[in-house]
Order: sequence, then C-alpha cells, then structure tokens
Amino acid sequence: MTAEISSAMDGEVRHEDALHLFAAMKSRDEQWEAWRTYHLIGDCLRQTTPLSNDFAVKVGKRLAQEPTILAPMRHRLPTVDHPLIGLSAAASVAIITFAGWTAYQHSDMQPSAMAPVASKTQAEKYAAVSNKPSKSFSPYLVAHHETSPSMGMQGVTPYIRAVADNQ
Amino acid sequence: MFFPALSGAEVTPQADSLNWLRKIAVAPHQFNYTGVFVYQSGNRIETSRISHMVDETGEHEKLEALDGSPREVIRHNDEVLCYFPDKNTVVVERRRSIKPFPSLLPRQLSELTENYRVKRGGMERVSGFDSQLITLEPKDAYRYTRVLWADAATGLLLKTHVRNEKSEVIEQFAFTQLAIGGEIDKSVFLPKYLTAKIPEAVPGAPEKRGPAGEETSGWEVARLPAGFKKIHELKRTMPGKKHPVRHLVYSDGLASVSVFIEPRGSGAAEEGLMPQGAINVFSKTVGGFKVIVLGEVPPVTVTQIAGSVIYRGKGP
Repeated sequence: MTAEISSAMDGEVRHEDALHLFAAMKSRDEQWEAWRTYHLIGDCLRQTTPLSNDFAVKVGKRLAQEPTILAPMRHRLPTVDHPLIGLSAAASVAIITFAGWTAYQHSDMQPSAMAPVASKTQAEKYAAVSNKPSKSFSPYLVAHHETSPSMGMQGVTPYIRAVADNQ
Repeated sequence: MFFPALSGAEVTPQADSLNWLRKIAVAPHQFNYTGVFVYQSGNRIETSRISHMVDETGEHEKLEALDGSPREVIRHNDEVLCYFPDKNTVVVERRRSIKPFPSLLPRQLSELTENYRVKRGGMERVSGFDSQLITLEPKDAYRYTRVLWADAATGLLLKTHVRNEKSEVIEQFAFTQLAIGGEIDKSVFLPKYLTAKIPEAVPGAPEKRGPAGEETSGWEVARLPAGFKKIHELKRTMPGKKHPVRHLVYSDGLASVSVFIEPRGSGAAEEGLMPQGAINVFSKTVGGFKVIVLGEVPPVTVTQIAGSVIYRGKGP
C-alpha cells in the first residue's frame, strides 16, 4: 500500500487507481500519515519551506468557506512547461483538499493542474498534442520587446511576457 | 431631415478611433500611476505590480512579479533592467533605437489602418473607471484581434485582449487596482533584489545598429506575410551566447515579429512551432544556422516567415 502511495505521488498510478487509493487512504489513518510523511520528505529534499502542521486543516476550513463557482470550463491546449508536474498533480486533485495541498507543494504549478475535473487521460492527451515543453526563450523575448512597437500596454509591461515565470 | 457635413460630423468614425489610439499611446508616458494587474497568457496567470512616474529626469517605471519566482523589470527612460534574483542575473536592455512613442505614431497609424479595422465601441466600466472600448480587427489571418479598454479621462489602458480567429482570448492584461496621479516615492524604483552581492550583469545590448536597410547581412524573408515590413536589422550579443546574433524585426504597425539567426550550436536544437501564449515561436535550422522566429502573431505568420528565411549574402 505504501508503495502505491509513493507511486501516486510520482504520478505513476492510473487515474482510476489513484481515486481508489485516495479513498482508501482517507479511511485509514496510517496511510494518510504515510502520504503526509512522503510529502514532508519530498519537501525536505527539495528544500521547500515546511508548512505549518495544521496546514491541511486550515486549507480545508478555508475551502469549506469558499463559495462554489459553477462556470463552464473551456478546454485549451495548455503550454505546460513541466508536463510531469501537471500529470502528477492532475491525478491527485481528485480529492479537493489535496488540491490546496499540492498547489502549495509546487509553487510553479500550472493553474490547469488545479482544475478539479482534469483527468489523467486528458492531461496525457494534452501533453501529447501540445508541442514540446517550451524551453526558455526569455532572452529572445526580451530582445524582441526591445524593438517591438507594440500598442499593447506600453512601457515595461510587454516585458512581462519575457520575464513570465517559465521555471 | 438630412444635414450633410455638419460641423460635428467632420470627424469621421475612423479619425475619431485613431484619435483615441493617439491618446492611448501617449497616456502611459504622461501620468504617474501605480497599480496591480493580472496578466494571462494561455492558461497561465500572473499578478504584477506596476509603478510609473515622470519627473524632471524623465520616466521611471517598475514592474514587479507578485506570483512565482521573484522578478523585477526597472526602466529609467530608455534603459531597461530585468532582475532574476533566483538566477542571480540582470539583463540590461536599451530601448535607444525606439524614438519616444508619439513620434512613431503617424507612420504607425497609417500602417495600422492598412492591416486593421479600427472601431470605437461603447463605454464600459473596468476596475472602477469609465472606459472607452476600441477594437482593432485584422483584415487577414496573419494577425490577431486586439481589444482595448482605455480610461475615458486619461487614455491609460485598463484592460487589453489579444483574441485569435475563434475570438478566444489568448492573452490579456487587466488592472485589478489602479491609482492615477499623485506623487510616488522615488525609492519605489530602486531594485528590491539587488543586494550587496552584485549579480552577474548580462549585456543583452545590441552591438551595432542602424535603420533598416543600412546594415544588411544578406538574410532575408522571401515570402513575407502581407502588411509586414522590415523595421530593424541589427547584430546583438545575447546572454550565454559566444557569437553575436543577427536580429531582424518586421512589423505591421501593431504586431511585430523578430527573426534571430545564429550559428548552430553543438547540442540538439528544438525545432518546429512552440506556442508561448500569445507569442508563437518557430525554430528551425537553415544551413549551419539556427533560426528563431517569434512574435505576437498567429502560428501561420511565424511558420511562413521561418519557412522562407534565406541567405543571399556573404556571411552573417
């Protein structure tokens, strides 16, 4: 079971299996604890600032207070810089509280990965269809905007494209 | 009853829209303002703070990313500094080739109307301001639609959309909070991340430059999409590149496309179309050279340009 949890964290479990896994984890405290511990280990390895102990509880409470927004979702080809992060996150957002949890783990996570209905198969499809992960063209974009007579928001604002977070 | 040519009717709808564009172009250089805006490109959203001030020494502007890794862009007149504290890097750019925006306008406006239909829409409320809606619709498929919401009083842009042929918003800027006028403390424009440890300054400045036609290398775009003209050609140094990079700039008066040509490195280069939100990038190899074409234009435009880059000279 713990091996499955570990695989789920790495995004190596099929979406359907992940759903079962999360359901199982919710019912057993030690597995829930394992999930949390693995993430803590991951955070330490990545040297991420640790979150407060009751972080998940706080996020859960905040989420419970938030109004549910019902709006049609538009499907778009995302320009995913790190499709793997997107995939692993998409698999784990099946349970809404995880969404907040993983979002804070991956500060560079794409908003699409937080969409609660994104299934892994969809994410895979996107990753396959979308062109190669965008490499950093920042220096070229900066050079481009230097000479661009764009009418958008003038001044430095076009530079936002160049310095937009491509980490 | 019909009254032709009343005094008020001398302003044609087109001229009226163009007057608004002039106002929009001048406004960001005239006023002091601070605000927070949201930038959305594709499915990526970022929030940034912007401050702009005009004093006796000129224009000062600062753009600060509030999401993700810390980044800052600071402009003092024509000098632009991009700080990437995570990478301990500063990219220095000079906009000296660009004349102050208003002086570019007459030529730009005539090119604009050749390639876009400029329409003045109604009044809409944006971020608490009454705004004038202006739409620039492309006359062909080589460019995107721009929708602008300008503050009715000052002409400052409050919101802009770049829309594709399906009317989908592929890029947008929108102020969520904005204060126009008043004094701004000069310390705001100091870099926050430039600490005692001096980061490596990366000269991104062009080596040489001249007006289009003066310095030509022999690199050309054989099948340039309609409405685009070459506006610059220069040789520049790029961060991390040993050899200077040839930079050609094409514009239709609003959108612009850059063509970068450099000796092909040893590593495997990414090739093909790589969309980056409203910016499309097409990379390919021509002879022993890497060609990167990018601009805020549809895929068809960068693809056609990249597909027809040819060399008709002696050396880059």
